[in-house]
Amino acid sequence: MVDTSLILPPLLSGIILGSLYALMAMGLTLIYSTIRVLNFAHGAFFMAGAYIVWWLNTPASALYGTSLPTSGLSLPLAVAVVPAVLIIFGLGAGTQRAVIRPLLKRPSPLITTLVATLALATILESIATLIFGGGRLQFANEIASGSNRFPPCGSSPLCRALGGLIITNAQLVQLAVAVGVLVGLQVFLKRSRYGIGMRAVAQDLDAANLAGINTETVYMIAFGVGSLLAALAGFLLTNIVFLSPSVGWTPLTIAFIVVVFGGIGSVQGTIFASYIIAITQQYVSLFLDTSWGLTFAFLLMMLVLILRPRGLFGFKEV
Amino acid sequence: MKSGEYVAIIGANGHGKTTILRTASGLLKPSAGKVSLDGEDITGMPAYKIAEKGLTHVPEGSRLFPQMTVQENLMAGAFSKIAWRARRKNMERVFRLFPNVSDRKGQLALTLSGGERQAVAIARGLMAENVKLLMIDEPSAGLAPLIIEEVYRQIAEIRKTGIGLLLVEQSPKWIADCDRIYLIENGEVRMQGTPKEVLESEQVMRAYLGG
Repeated sequence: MVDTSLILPPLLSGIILGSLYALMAMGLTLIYSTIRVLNFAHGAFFMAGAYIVWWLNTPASALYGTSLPTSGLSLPLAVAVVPAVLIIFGLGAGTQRAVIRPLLKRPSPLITTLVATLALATILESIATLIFGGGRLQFANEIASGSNRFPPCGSSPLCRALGGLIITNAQLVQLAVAVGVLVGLQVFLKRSRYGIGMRAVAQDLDAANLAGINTETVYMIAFGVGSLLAALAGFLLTNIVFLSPSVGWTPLTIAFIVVVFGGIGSVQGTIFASYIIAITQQYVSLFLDTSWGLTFAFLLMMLVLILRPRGLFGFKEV
Repeated sequence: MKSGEYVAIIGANGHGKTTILRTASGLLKPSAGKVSLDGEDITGMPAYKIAEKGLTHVPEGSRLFPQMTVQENLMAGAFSKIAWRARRKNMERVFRLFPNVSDRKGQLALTLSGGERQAVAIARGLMAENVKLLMIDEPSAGLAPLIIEEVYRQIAEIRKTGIGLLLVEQSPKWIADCDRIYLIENGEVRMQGTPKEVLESEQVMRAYLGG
């Protein structure tokens, strides 16, 4: 019989990781498809969001003997994440208004905005290093510990056949928050005024203008919401690993792979590709070293691009 | 234009008919001249502000949002704060005018036929609250004669509600019942008058037949 413990756990961790990738990549897709900006600062927003949560959450006593700043508030994570997400929303919307908007009116906006967001990423990284130092930080985390066996049925034969999956509390939180936010995002895109406006702008800018949509405001909301998703992913991922000023670059790379793989601008494609990439990564790192995971994700993307140049769910532009 | 008036602009391809509409609706900034609505100067205002004031523009080729349902397309036409609050009421009103749109409300726009698309595009234009003037660019473009008749029957219905209409057409065939016609040539008004005057004139025949 096949050893199910080799099959199911990577699938489960792949699904959890995939939900986080989807969160990150959806932000990138949202910004690209509405504003046509390749946002290289997306990883920096991921990092900045996580630092803000850390600053609000970590008690000063946990930092005995260091000069690192904390707010001294030691807010619970669930509370600390709210201001963090709002600040990053504002930072994203402000970036659109102050940096991107003027560039869009000039020649070759795709390149100039790309370089501008790259610069912004570097600036944010430097600021984080200046305030928090370049070293790795960890969350003094109330959800990081504890785990559950799934399904919760002890040592029955069925359970053992399923591999007796272990899911940590932190993973449960990751999964619940990520899936909850993704579902909420779908409702936002289908029902709300700005969600509809964002999709309309993405599909036909001129027609959106004529339909009476205030495109400048839609751009700001899109950049804000996209960045907010990065911040949320940043907190959820770093909270169980570590935090450093350059922690956003790998998720940014993965998000770009996911977006291209799924078909640029496609929401379903982005979500589907997130899970495929994450699950592949988990299986690959089971048999090879962890570092091969990303390499395989790249290979997978290249293969798909050879077969389907527009990505899995990419539709033809009319 | 007077309120509730039905005016048509005709002229051959590439003579600036569409440019007039795009300038009026704020997509283009005029290099000279003025656009005003009810005495208010709206020249150079952003398109969404102009739409909010009741001047909406239905572009040529309907230009629906293909990956959105008919209902979502209509909601996109109700973006301003006031229109958004009234979107359910306005959607019902629009569905009464266009029963064929109502039957398709859950369908993606890209699955619609040409006539249905044109109907949805006009319906989207009516979703803005307090529409005073609806500008439609070539409602007959690319459609079969039978479908065009249906589109114009619906346009006649809109006219009954008191909304002003400004239509752009290449062929004078469909607009014989309008109040006034402007003939545009090389971006200038070559001739204006009642449909009867304009259509019977020799100049028009020359413009069309290139004689």
